[in-house]
This record gives sequence, C-alpha cells and structure tokens, in this order.
Amino acid sequence: MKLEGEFTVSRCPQEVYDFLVDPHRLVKCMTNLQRHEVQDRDHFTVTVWVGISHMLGLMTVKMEIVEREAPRYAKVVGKGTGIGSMVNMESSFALEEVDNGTTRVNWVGEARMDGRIGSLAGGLVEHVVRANLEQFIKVLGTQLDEGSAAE
Amino acid sequence: MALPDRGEPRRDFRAGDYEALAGRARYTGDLDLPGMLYAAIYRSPLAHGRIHRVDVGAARQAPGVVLALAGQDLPPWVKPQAMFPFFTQDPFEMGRSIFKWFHHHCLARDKVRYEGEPLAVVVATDRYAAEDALELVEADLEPLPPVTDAQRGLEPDAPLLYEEWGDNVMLTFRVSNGDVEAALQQADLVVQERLYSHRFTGTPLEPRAVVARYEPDRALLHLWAATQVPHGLSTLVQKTLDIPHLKVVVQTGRIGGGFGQKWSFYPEDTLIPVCAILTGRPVKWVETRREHMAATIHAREQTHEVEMALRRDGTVLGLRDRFIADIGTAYPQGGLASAVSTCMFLPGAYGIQNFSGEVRGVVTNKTPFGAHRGFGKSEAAYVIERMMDIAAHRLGLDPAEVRRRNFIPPEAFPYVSATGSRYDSGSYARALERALELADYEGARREQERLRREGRYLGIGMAVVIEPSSSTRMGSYNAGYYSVVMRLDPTGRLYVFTSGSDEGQGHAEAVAQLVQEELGVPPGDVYVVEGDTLRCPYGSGSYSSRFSVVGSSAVTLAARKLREKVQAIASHLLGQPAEALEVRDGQVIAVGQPERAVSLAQVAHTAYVELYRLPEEMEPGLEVTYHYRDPNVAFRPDARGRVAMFSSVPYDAEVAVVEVDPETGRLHILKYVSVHDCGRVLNRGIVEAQHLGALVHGIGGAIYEELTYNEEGQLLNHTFKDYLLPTVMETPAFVLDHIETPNPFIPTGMKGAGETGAIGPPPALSNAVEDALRPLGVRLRATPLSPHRVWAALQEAGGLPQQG
Repeated sequence: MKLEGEFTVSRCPQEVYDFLVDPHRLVKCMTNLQRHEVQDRDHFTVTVWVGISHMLGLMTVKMEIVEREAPRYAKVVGKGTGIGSMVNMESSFALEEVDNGTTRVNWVGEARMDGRIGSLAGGLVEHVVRANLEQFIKVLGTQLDEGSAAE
Repeated sequence: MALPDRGEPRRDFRAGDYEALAGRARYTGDLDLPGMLYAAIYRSPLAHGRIHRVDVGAARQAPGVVLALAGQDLPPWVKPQAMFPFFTQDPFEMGRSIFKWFHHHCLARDKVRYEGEPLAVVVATDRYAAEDALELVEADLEPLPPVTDAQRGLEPDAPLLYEEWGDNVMLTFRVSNGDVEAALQQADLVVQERLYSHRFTGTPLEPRAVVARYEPDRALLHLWAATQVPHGLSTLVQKTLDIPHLKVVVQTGRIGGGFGQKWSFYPEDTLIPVCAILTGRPVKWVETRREHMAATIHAREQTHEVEMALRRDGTVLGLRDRFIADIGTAYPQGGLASAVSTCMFLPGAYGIQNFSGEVRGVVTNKTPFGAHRGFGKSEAAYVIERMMDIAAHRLGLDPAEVRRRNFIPPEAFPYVSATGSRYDSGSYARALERALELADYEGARREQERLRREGRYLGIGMAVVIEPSSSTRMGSYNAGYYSVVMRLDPTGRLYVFTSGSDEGQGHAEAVAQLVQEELGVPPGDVYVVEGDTLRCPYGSGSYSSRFSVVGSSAVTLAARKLREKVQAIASHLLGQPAEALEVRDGQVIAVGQPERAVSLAQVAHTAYVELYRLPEEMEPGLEVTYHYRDPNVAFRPDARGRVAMFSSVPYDAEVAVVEVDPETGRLHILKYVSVHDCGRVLNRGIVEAQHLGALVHGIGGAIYEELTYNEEGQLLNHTFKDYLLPTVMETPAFVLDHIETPNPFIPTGMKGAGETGAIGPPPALSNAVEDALRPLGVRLRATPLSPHRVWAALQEAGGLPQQG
C-alpha cells in the first residue's frame, strides 16, 4: 500500500528536518501510542494500539532512521509484529523551502501488512492506515507550528 | 457372483448420533489429563519469506509459560517430517512419473512458504497464557516475492519456493492408451477448452486436535488425535522422532468429521509430542477455525487444457488433457496423489480408450494441497461432464444423448479403462434414465421454452459422475488391505477390533449388521473398537470410502472364519456334522432339528473354560484375525502409466433444474435429482445420510465455498464470515433414488458411499447455469458459480439485451 501527500509548515527546512529526525519528538505525533523507547539517535521502538474491524491489540514496531540528508531529506523504516500480523513500512520526507521560513514537506509512505490484518480486504486496511497517517501529519504540523509559536 | 437376497436394507439411526446430539460425545478436545499444558502456535504472517531470526525469549518469560520453541530450538532428535502418503522418493518405480520432495521440519527453518506455516510454539499452564505469550514472539522475516498462481509458477522468471529444485514443478505424471493423435486427426469435431476448478476445502465441525503424553521410563509416547489414520500416524511420528526404543500409541476419540483432511501428517502431529517430551507433562493443542482455514489442507485447484475428438453423431473418439494442479507448499500431505487420481479418471463413465493425460503439480505459496472428499476424481468429473455438455451443444445434440452414446455398457463390466483402472460394475444409462425421469426432463425442457418467451432463464444440467473408492498405491501407506480381530467372549458378547477409524460414517452399526448376518449375534451384543493402535490390528485407517469395500469384506470374512470354529465346537458338543449346523439368532442349530441347539454363549464358554469338552487337537478360545487383501487393484504401473489404483466405482447420475436471475447472477435450484449406485446397500439410513451430506457439500463447493488469496499470498478466508457454507436455506429438497449393481469382487457386494454426491454438483450446476443463459451467449469455464462470477460471465457475453 502506497500513500503520498504534502503539507506546509511555517518553519524553515532545517527546523523541520531536525524535528523529523529526532525520535523523541517524532513519537509524540504518533496516534494510539502506548509506549516507546529510544535506543539511540537512529533507533526507536513504539508500541501502538491497533484496531481494524474485529482485530484489536498492540503492535510493536522497531523504527530506524535510515537516511539523513540535512536539511532536505529523511527516510524512516519500520518493522513490527502483533495481533498475528506483521508490518513492514517505509516513510520518506522531502523538504522544500517555498517561502522565507516556510517549508513544504512531500511525504511518501509505503506499508505492507501480512498475517491477520493482511487478510482483511485491502480497502478496509487502507482506510484505517490513511486516517492514522493523516492524523500523524496533522499532529506533526501542529507540533511544528506550536514550536514556532513558542519562540 | 450371485449374492444372497437379504431383503430391504435397514434404516437404523446410529447410536452415536444420540451422543453427539445430546452433547455427550467425547472428542479429543474434551480430554483432560492431570498436569496438562496447552500449546499455541505462532504462524507465519508471510506467504513467502526468509527467516532471519525467531526470538521466543520474551515469550519464555511470560506468566504461565513452561516452554517456547522456534525452529532452531528443536532438539537434534526431531527429524524432518516423515514422507506421506508415499514412503519412497520413487513411489511407482516405473510408469511415467517424476516426484520431487523437500523435507520440512515441524517448525520452519530458513524459509516460510505459506501464511500459517508454524514458526514457533508456546506451551503454558492454560490456553489463554499461551495465546497471550504468542504476542511476545519476535520473528524477523524478510519478505520474498510469492508465487500465488500455478501458471505464474511455471514461468522461467518465477520466484522459486525450493531453490534446489531449479523450478516449481513437484510432480509430473503421464498416462496414456490407444492413439489420441489419430483420434484427433479423424474427428469430425475437436472441442478444445480451458477449464478451471477452484480451491476449496472441508470444514469439519471438530478441527484438528492433538494431545500427547510421554513416559520416559518406557520410551512410550501416547497420542490422542483427531485422525483418520491412527496406525499411520503412529508410524510417521515414530519415524520423525529419533529416540531410541520409542514406541508410539495413538488413540482417537470421536472425530467430528474428516473429509480427507485428517488423512495427513501435519507439523503439529510432531510438534505437540515434542512439547510433551521436553516438558515431561501432557500437552494439548486444539486448532482454532482461523488456523484450520490457513493451516489445514486445501484442495481442488486445477487448470485443464482439454481436447475432445468426436464424430458427428456424438461418439467420443479420444480425449487429451494437460493440466496443472496448484499443490501449494510441498508438505507431505497427499495432494500430489489426488492430482494423480484426477489424471486416472478423466474418461469418467465413458468408454474412451484413446486417451492421454498429463498433470504437472506446481508448488505455490499457499496452504498445502491434500485429500478432500472426492480426492481428485471431483476435478476429473468436472472436466469430462462439462466437455460432454459443451460437445453436445457444438454438435446440436441433446446432452443426454451424447452421454448415452458413450457410456460403458453394463455388459462390458468388469471393465478396464484407458488408464488401467478396473471398474467393477455399473449401469450408467439406467441411472441417467431414472434421474431424467425423476426430473421430468421433457417437461422441464418445455417449461424452459415457455419461460424463455417470458424473459426468464431456466436451465437443465446433468452429470454422471464416478467416484472410484478404496485406493491402493504402490510405495504408499494406501496399502490395499483391512484388518479385523474378532473375539466371542465366554458370555457370548462379540468384540470387533478393526484397523479403521470412524470419523462419523457409522462403522459400529455397519459392523454389527454384517456380523449379525454371519454369526447371528444380536447387534446389542456387538462392541466395535476402532482408532486405537494398542488394541486394534495394524492397518491404514479410514479414507477413500474403503470401509465399505475392504473393511466390510474383512469383517465378513473374519466372522465366517470365527463361525467355522463355532460350528466345529458345536458339532463336537451336539454330535452333529459341522456342515449340518446353521448359526442364527445367537444359537447353533442342527438343520431340520431345532431341538438340537446350543447357544453361542455356551460354545464360547466351552472354548475358554471347558477345554475338556473341546476336540483334542483344537486350540482353545474364539478369537480370529483376518487381513483382507483387495483383489481388484494392481500395484505396479506399466510403461504408459496404466495401473488400477481404486477397486470399486460407485457413481451418481444427477440432474439439476435451476433458474438464474440475470440481473444479479444468482441461481435458484428448483429441483435436484440424484440416482446413486454404491453397490449393495447395507443400511439405507446411513447411506442416504452420507449421500445427502455429500450433495450439500458439493453444492457448497459449486456455488459458495472458495479460498482466495491476494497478490501478497494472504489468504482472505479465515472465518465463516468470509468462507461461505451452504445452510438449510441454500439446500434444495433433493429427490433421491438408488440402484444396485453389486461389486462382484468382494463378499459383501458393496462399493464406496458418501463421496459421489460431493462431486456431481459442480458439473451438473455449471451445465444447468450455462444452459439457462445460453440465449445470452454465456460461457462458463470455471467454478464457483457465485453470483458475481455468473454476473461477470454474463457481462462478458454482452449482458442482457436492451429493453424496448
């Protein structure tokens, strides 16, 4: 499943980039986060609550920031299991300054679900993943903007 | 061979049915042993992937967990799963077959090859703790591209399931007779079609279950399992666990349906004993329905490329079929044997002697392929019966007439088919005529014409299907015999121990009837023991409807052997020659002198207790063993692959009348007639119950039941919400009749029963739906006949004509 989109925040690319490659700040944007642990600057683990149709439970995903190209590009991959399922995901963010102090973030997310969740009809899973991703982006934008306002 | 007239078959209600209906029946899952632990299995979420690591460390620390194992943790004495059903890599030795094997362990190592393949096991003090701990298993799997389509699996660039093979072809089998090329050259018409049978499976009420207990001091492993093959399972587990002096005892409880799926050797059959051995405590595992759908064998999926050569009058001159069977993953579960069976019975009920068949069994990243009611003959029946209808339409002939012109005539029996198969007896034309009569075929055709004028779509379809039973194969555990031990105890009660394993057929009632005929013991005094390797004689279990053929024969001949000794003792007691005595109603009676009689109980008492009243040279006791060997099979194929693998040929003529709603593609079965011949009917109640169940099973397979995978190899039918079974609402009121052509090769005259009904509906209903929609140009070349598929076929043909 591949999803993509873009959003704009009133922060310069370097600030956005610093946010995206900071696991401590990034996890705060995640929906249904139950707990997290940051191992080092590149590795962190999140446990999230997943509910799709009749399948409810926790999924633990090991994340790794695999590419950093300050201040323009970052890529994160994740691999997780839970609820008799397995997820492999990859997200990348390409940053572009569109105006002085404003950054457009072009993002691409790819996820592959196997096991119990994978056996659900694709449309159902895609809908839930898209909703979660949109929420993530919304919170990300808010966090960045709040950071801006706080200054 | 003339059989004695035994009058009207009985219609007993089986004693076991009351137990089941009242909830008193005890299944493997009901077993509760002191100190028992419970297993749950972590299964691959991926269809195809490389295993980098499976970590059960966290699971081991979970509350209640006693043991957790992944593939790398298996002790060295756990060998790869023993081969089944074949026990040699070259099971036919000659003929025209090529087999490839891969030796899987009970927990996957290196690679996973289907969603649901066992990767790890957790054993805990209760099932909840075990299931919760599964969430802590960490599997690092690298997804590999899956093969989800057998055609794709044959392409040169297809991913390989077993790299060492060099391709994905597990099986190649060819059989031929006569000269097909010449037949195709000489034909007035050659009909070429691609036909597809879809993947579906059996859904027994009781899924699989295994309980294991190990006694290390005696190296004795005790298994309780829902299996159709208790002795086979004992041998296979023994071969898989390399423990010095290991002895394996298998017992079955009640089995809530088998349908062939419990004729297999599964990873869990090894894994649960391993858990019991390692923990030193009994371990139970009961499959969930979700596991059943993904991890218990599937069946049927085949794609055929068929050519039929015909004369203008409908006579079939020859048949050639090259087909691909989607075998799934290559676990040792019998699927390749069913694909071979398809090849052997493609000519069906017809005297087609110019024949060539070739099957390639292709591995895919799907659940392994195995036995399922109809065992390959279902797909053969679909092909030949669809071809008969398609050819009839192309020739402008009535489909009944084309069949009549090609049936093997009654006087040709015993008949040797083009594949070397031996057909025992039959009267196919008589069965079809009776079915057409019961369906009011002529009236239905008139009604079809009338309704077409009203814009309604009525169709009539027929099929005459054979379902050869009692299989035997060289180099396999289908060994072509059945064993019985029979003991008349000193009180006159008869104990019968057989090598079978009743999975719901009613063996106890059938055995009691058979021994009553031979020994005059009242059914209430007969106790039948099956599914117990300690008490019962060795044998290959229950499958392929073999009880009716070799089982009934073994029981009958054991009873006759016992009767000879009973008569010899009674002769001594009564002072009458043995040949002047008859055994009936619990007595041995001098013919014509009813006052000179001795009870069976008295004879038995003498045999065990009053040895001084026995003839001097006679052994004490009244216990016999009989191993009945199937007389109508051949083990070794010839150079063209011809061999007799099955020994009797029950059959069924079915006629369906349907109406199809062209707006939705939904079909309504208005009438369904079945005229069935399973040879001599011993107990009509049992036969009809099995046959009705089979017909419903067949309708489920024809219309509703379908296992589908997405492009990643994920099974999409894990529950009965997405795998549809027919209910009483979808079941028509069947019109049934029987004819009897006794099997001349065995003493009871019986053929197999309970499978033909499962294989007739896919072709009969396909023929009916295509007949209904013929004015719209619809072609149906695949099952199932689910509404959306029928609707799609209708759209492909241009849809409904525009109104006005």
